[in-house]
Amino acid sequence: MSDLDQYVDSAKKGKLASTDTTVLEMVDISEPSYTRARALLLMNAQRKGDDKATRKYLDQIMLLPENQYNPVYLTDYARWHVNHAEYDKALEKATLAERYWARIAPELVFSKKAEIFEIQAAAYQGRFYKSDEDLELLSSAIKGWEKYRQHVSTKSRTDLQKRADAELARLQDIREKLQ
Amino acid sequence: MKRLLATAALALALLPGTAHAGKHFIKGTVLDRNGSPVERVNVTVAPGNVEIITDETGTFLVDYLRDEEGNRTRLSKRTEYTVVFFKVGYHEEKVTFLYKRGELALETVTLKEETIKVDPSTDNIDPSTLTDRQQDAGGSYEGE
Repeated sequence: MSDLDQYVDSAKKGKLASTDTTVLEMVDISEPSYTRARALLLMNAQRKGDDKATRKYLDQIMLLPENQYNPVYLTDYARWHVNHAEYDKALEKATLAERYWARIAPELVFSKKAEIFEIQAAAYQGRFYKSDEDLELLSSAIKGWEKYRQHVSTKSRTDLQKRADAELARLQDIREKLQ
Repeated sequence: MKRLLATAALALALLPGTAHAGKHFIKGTVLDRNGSPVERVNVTVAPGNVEIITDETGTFLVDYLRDEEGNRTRLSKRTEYTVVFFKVGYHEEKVTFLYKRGELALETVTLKEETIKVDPSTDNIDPSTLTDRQQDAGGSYEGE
């Protein structure tokens, strides 16, 4: 058991004490446990819904070259961008995450791919909303949600299918109004 | 084409002494949450089969409707109408009101921007275990 294992449970709940945070932040980039420490801080920030800290720890994790093609961190980064209406950056990160999906642990492949596809669809949708009724972007958003829907239907995730169906219905309604 | 005609109709209608000489019309303004006018908002009136768009000041004016045959008709007195405001990138808004007669200025309509959010994964995993998998897989990292 490594020294950092003691922080896992608290980080998962978003309940790291400030002293724990300080200890983890003191792990230097030159130390082997740097990524693990920052990953725990990231998880804690995400669970707390601390947007600023989430971005800070993602930036710190990405300082190491070996993390820059990690699909899990790329997905987290892409989500951060899409939720801040930075759709081009979100698409860039999500596309990179999709390219390196084979590095995802087998038990996480389904959920991480679902996240990647959801972010891509949402990013196209966001770009469409910001556009001047660009029908090509609308078409890309619809294709994105169809891809997501197809993926989540492989595991009979009706909750996720409903999410896709709601967005598809919204976009198809817009398409009808624009035609 | 329909929109161009509607814009032209709106422009004519705003000229004094022309299209709304009879002074039976409804008008209003569409703003965003910052108080800036929103142009090219699609405004439909039901019943009435009329579709117009707002101008660069976010203003619209409806001084005629169309019957089932497509002929122009006046706004009917003491009738309830619903106006729907639609623009890509904004939440649709609806306003229902009772039109009595003459001129009616609707309250300013404020459109909210559409946003799309992606919730974090509910996977309750220790992310730091994931780097091990990469190293086990023997993958090389670009940029190294």
